[in-house]
Amino acid sequence: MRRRETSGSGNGFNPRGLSLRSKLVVEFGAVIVGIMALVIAVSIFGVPFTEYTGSLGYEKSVVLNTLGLIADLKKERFELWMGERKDDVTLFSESVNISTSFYDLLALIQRVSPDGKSPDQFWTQLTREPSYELLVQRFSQIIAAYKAYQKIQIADAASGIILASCDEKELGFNVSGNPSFDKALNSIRKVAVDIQLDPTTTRPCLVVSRAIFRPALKDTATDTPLGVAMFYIDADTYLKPLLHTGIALGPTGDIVLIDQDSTILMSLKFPLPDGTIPKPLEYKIQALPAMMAARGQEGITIADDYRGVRVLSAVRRLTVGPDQNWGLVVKRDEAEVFAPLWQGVLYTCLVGFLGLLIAILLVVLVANRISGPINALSRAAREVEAGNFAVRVPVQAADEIGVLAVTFNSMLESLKERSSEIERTNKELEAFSYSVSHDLRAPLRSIDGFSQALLEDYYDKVDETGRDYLKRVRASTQHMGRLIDDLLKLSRLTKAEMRPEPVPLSDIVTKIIDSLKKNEPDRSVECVVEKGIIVYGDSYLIEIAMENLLNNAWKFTGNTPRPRIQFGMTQKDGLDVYYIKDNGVGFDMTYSDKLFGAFQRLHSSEEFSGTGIGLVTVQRIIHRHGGRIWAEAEPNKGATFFFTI
Amino acid sequence: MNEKIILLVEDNPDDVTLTLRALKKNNILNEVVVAKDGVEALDYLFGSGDYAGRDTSVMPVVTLLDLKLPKLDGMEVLKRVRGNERTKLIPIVILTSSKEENDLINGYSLGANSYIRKPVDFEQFNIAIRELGLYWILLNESPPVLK
Repeated sequence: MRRRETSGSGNGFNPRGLSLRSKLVVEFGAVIVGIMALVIAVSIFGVPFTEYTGSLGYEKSVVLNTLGLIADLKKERFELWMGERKDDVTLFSESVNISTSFYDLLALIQRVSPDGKSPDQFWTQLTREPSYELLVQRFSQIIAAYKAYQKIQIADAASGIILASCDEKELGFNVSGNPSFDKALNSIRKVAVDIQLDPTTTRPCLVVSRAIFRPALKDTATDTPLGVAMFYIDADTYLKPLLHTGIALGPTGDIVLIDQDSTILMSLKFPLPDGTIPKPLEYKIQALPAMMAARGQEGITIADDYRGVRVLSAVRRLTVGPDQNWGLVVKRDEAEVFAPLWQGVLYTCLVGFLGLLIAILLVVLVANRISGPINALSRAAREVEAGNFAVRVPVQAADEIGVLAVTFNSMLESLKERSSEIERTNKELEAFSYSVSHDLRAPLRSIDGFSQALLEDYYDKVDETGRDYLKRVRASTQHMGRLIDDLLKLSRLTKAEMRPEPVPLSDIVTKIIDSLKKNEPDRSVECVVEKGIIVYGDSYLIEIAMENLLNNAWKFTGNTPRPRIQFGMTQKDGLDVYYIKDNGVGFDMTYSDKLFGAFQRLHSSEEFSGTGIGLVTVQRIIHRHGGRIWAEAEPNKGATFFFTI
Repeated sequence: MNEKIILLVEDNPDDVTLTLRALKKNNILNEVVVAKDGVEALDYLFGSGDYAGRDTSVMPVVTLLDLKLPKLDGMEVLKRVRGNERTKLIPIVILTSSKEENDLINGYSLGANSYIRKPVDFEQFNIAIRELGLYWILLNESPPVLK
């Protein structure tokens, strides 16, 4: 069953899938996107994969090298500086002047017992002693020579009381128990180094201390010290810059100084993960690089630091004393080191993505350029289909599509002429059939009417033969009347607009057969109708076709003893074929080509009445539905009319 | 009875004769006024032209109107009759050879009361005329004549 639609939306063709333009975009786009993706993939993972991973390794080794170099430099500077400080203290404590002055001062104190004097008076008296003044003068000279020394003091070895200080306010303080004091007393003729919190400022302080001996006995090993000289250096002000300045470690770069217990000796750059800021001399780092440093190891490592952040670090041992080491960690966040590489990857992706966008844009533009004229053509074709022949396609280029557009336009021109010609012809035909309907029938009516009037009013004046003639005149006019009617009907069928809808064919056949039976109740015809057949077409036209076919079947079984009419459906070449079959007179297949010709009859009108228009009408209707009709018959055995819709 | 006039608008003399005969045969003896074209029909109905001075309070009980007429065709006559206050209600039966759907639609849209196709077969024509007379003259109540 073929469907014919006359809707305005076109010929019922619904473009499935994508338009040409979309296809161009998608296909070109896919190709370009694929290529670009490949290029990007290659640029990220391919050739540069080795380069990138190589870069990572290279960058890593460079950074580690740098860190090592920095660590070495710092270690060297620190140890050099520390040596200088130790030399300063050694020179001071070994100086005969100093030891003599201090010895004198002690002797003086022994003589001038503090008993019975207020401490103020005692200390005031002490500071006026020439030996004390000499000591303080020396202190000033040293501080003037090297500003790092915050203060210098000498404490009594026996009591731990400070007997000489550049700051008079600290005279009389007891430093026994201070690690610097104790260490200096215990390690004979060696310098003790310690970092401790200054009790007054609570800032970490580097204290370099050494015992002072009586000058005359200085070469005896069993000598007992007179006192301890203690040099204070503010760690944050002088030690930290020593380690930190002059390097380019980057924003995450840091240097951590710890002692053998892994306790930090200087403040850290970053807070701990919990947000607290670790205090020097209080916080012990548990992270791997610091632990390595605390154990006195040297080397490089990539591990998490005290914040839990992965760092590249160089670890160095700083020799402070013969059996005193500190640890130095020079570190930098791994993320920062690799950030430029990641940025590179990001840039590659970004540029790739931008390129992709531009490519897609270009594809869309190109697709538009190509499909634009085709779209214009297709739009115009739709307009033409809707009946507008005035539309023209703009010719944009001299390419194939341009040629197509020109051809399309000239085709439209001739189509327009043709259609107006057809319109004109149709109008003429309409006028013609109108006059046929009206003017040809008028004289027929007169002929018939007056023949009848003659028969009625002049009955006795005409003899039997005359009356027969008059009857023949009347029969002929009536036949001609029917011919005219049928012709008009036929022409109307050709003109009538189709309104396709589902048509219940079985019901229509049943209805027509019922009305045939009613018109001739005397006849008994066996009718078999297959139920439930529905076709798609114009119900009015299909009813007319069925009427004609069934009328024929009814008519041509008129002389059959056991008349039978059958309607049904069968299949042929995958198509639904409908048929109306009778067991009437049938016809000789030799003449089957005359079957569907206008006014062609295979039986005489004496045998069977008819105008010879019926089957032409049926054929026209079937053809208008895009179907086909044919017949199979045998004389005296019946005829079957097959059709598709 | 005399008041019940039939107006026959028909240009074909044969058809006039046959129609008159059919009316007579069916014992419809009312006065039949024949107008040979549209203009004459309107003149009669409006009391103008040749019919100037006619008593227009008397309107035909039924007007049998052919469509194909000289001068003014049936549709135009129908339009004017329906457009006129005095004649807009009078019964008009289109009696024509045409069976064009367009004519049917136009006729009814313009206000025809009936549409009858003249059959070629005179006997059927006879029957049609009889039925027509029976209905419009005997059964149908004429509309009041409007002033």
